[in-house]
Amino acid sequence: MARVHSQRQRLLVIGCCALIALVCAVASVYHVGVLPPKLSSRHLDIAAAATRVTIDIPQPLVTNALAQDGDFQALDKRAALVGNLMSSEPVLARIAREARIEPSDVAAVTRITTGVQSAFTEPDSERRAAQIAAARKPYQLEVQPSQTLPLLSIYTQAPSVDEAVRLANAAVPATRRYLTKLARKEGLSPAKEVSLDQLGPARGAIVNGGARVQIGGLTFLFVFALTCLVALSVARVRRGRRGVVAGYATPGGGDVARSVGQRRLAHASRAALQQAGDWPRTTRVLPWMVAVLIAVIFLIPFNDIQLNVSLPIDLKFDRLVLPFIIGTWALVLAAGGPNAPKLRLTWIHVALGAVVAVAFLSLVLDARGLNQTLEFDTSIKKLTLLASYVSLFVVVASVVRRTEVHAFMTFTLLLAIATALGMILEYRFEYNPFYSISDTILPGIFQVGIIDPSGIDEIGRRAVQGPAQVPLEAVAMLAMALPIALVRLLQSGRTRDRVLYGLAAAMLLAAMVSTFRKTAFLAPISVCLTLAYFRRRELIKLAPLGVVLVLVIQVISPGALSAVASQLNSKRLGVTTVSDRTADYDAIRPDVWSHLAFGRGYGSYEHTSYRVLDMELLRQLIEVGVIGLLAYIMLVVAVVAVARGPIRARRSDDSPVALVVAAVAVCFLMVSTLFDVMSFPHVPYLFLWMAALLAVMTGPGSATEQAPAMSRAVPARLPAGGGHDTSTPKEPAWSS
Amino acid sequence: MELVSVLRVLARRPLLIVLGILAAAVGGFVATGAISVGPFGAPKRHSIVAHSQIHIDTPKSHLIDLAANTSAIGTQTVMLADRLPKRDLQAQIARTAGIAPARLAVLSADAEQPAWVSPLATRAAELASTTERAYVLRVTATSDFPVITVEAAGPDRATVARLARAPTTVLKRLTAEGAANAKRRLSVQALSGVEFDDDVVSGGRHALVGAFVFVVLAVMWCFAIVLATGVARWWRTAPGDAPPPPLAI
Repeated sequence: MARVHSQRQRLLVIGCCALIALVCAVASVYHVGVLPPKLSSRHLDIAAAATRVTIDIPQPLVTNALAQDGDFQALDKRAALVGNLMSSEPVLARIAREARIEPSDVAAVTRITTGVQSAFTEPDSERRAAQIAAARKPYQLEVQPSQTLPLLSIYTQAPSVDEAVRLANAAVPATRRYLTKLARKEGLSPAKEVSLDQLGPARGAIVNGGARVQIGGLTFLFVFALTCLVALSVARVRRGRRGVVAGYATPGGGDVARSVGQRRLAHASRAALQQAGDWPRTTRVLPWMVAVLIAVIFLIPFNDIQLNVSLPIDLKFDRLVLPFIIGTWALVLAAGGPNAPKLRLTWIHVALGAVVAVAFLSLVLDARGLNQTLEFDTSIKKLTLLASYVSLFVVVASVVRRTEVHAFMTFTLLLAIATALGMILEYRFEYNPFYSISDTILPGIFQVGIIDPSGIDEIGRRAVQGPAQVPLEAVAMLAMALPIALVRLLQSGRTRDRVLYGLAAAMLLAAMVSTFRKTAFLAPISVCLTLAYFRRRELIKLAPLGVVLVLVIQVISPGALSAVASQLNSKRLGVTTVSDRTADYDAIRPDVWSHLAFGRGYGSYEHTSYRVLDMELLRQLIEVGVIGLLAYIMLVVAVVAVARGPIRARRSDDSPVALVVAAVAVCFLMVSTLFDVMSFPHVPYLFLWMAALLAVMTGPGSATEQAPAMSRAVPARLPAGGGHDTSTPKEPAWSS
Repeated sequence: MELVSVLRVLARRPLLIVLGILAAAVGGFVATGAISVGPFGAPKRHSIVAHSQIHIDTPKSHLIDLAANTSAIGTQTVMLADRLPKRDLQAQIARTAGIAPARLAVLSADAEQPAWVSPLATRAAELASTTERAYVLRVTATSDFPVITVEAAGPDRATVARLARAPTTVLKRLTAEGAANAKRRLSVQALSGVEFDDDVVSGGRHALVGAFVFVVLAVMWCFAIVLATGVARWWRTAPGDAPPPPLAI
């Protein structure tokens, strides 16, 4: 009877959550009137139209066999001038009148398309402020002069197809009339006037089909999830109180709840676990799938590999592998059984949940604005990428056992060494094995990106990038594996182990410096500082090894170390890679102030449309606001905070893992200040992979998962409350 | 192996599995196109695709005349190709090919790529590359090479062949009108005959699509059964039956 009552209660709560979510979803796409009650549709459709115009002289150069290249170059410049004229106030007013539109409702822009570095065309704070003000106008006119031809592309946006087409078709006659009037005023002969010729009528259509469903659906999902979460939290608190009153098992609270049935279940689970074994000596599918995914992350340039199929989403290689893992995980979770994934809730989960929640909220709040600027789709794509990152974390944190973490850390280090070897090969022989082998072994349905291993950037540095898209990303990947080698170096007692781990650290560092990026110094420094904070004395004893490391790096990647060091010279810090970063601070002010709390929407700031932000923290500030930035930083803080306890406890099993992951978290925060890490999936995947391993080590119930091998080595002494076993041997202090 | 428990869940519901497989089989059969339902079963349509190339040359061909003015020939080639979508030239092409102008769309490949990537330009440029008209003529040219590539597509082989040849005639007329003096007139020549690609077939019956849909539906059905079983188990468990899972702090 109590169960039926409880199910009814649950149904009622879920119904209420769904109702609230439905009301919010309806309000997001409809105007809801209360007095009198009415529902009217919000206008969310956006139409676009396009046409093109050539600029010529009255005796057309295009058919003149005597025309010279210089004649066309002069016309190109004239075309750019006419393009700018079109977006000027007097001509824009004429265009609006011609299109029968209120001139104050039209915003116009002429893009700078000449072949200069993007840093010169990126909007500064004044221009960006003007763009933000203009973006909310219902009618938009965008003029793009061609880079090589005397030709203008005209793009228009309006609430309806008819208006968009009318606006595009009005641009040429209105500009022509303005120029004719000017010519008459100057007394110019018609034979000397510039001729504008529209290349076909404007073609238009609705370009955001399904926006209403997307916005309503996103709002419903977010509000439903949020209200359910609140209801669950309330229920949890109430049950917790009742549990204390009824004598449920609380930490140290006795065995009341551990009924005979539960103990039998626990016993059966342990027996099944022993049968299944630990990775890599296991027949369990999920750990192997996770291992394959981690190998893909390290060895395959997955973000440059795409399925050659036309779909509304970008089918990158990782987004083909991950759904299989998530699908299998969901099946096994639903089927239950002793080997089913165990959902653990840690503060890292909470912090990551906060990042996701703020990302969703930022989109829900500014959905209509992003729809107006045609950026909502891009944001949804980025949100799915964020969901991929989070999925990896949740799957790993629930699938991997505590006794498997050591093996997975070793596996990660081995993969990082393989990556480092490939990058050193690329540095020395100008051959990128990751791209080449992927291109060779993958079937033709996959399109692998093309790179130039001997290419150089704008300040003359080699582009050694390994499996990543940019060298900085490769550095961050290796820097995140470096703490594994260093911590094991600190821990190992045998000389052979020390030599091997020292060599591994040298390989990783050599590969990092071979990218010629200053980050190759900064990222390892952040790792070393974190280790030094927690293990000062041990690290000082390793100082002489530093000299050996420098020599080994010099041998493995000759010339790279000095090349990176020379870039840190104060005289060379004025290069564009540094000045661009400092220019960003002022340029983003209008974006930050216009959406201070929750930003303009997660994933909506495209570098191709605005400016390249060389800092993830700035990107977060713009896209998810101050609150989102705090959530992002708190994620790193949560990882370090969770790691801190085990590090201090110096237990031999979880302390090294915690130390590694703390260093990885600090490194992630450091590289977040150097480039937009969330746009380069290798880095967030690896960070969350490591964070998930820490969650496994510190999560509730993890101590009960003793692997057969571990069980033999360390007798299982489980605490009653499922907390950490304080009787496990402590890590030997190096000072003793 | 965890998947054994998944198979056990499925083995406990043989009737549901059989029903699901039957439904998937029906879905697969519909997807083959044997029955006309929704997007499936659309009548078989052949689209003929033909290619031709047009060479833009100086009055005395620069292939033999070293003194020929070739400094702007590449730019002129691209600009001539770009002019073909103009309303009057498009009508001339339609007339030359014997098609009603309303059934023809002339698209320039150059218009499909905006010079500056912005959300509006990208979406609007996509419009330039799509059409629902029966006959489509797509022209491509680059300034490196004085050749315009023409791709004509439509349902009728003879008309498509005429359509692939029509731009040559229209461009010849255009250059003649632009320069009355033959010494100033660009030469327009068909570089090759019309070449046909393999026919593009849409609609009709596809056994492979049916098999694919059957497998996908069957797998999704099994997936749904396992998930629903998990949710039902969770639903049957009253919240008071077990203490709340601890939060690790």
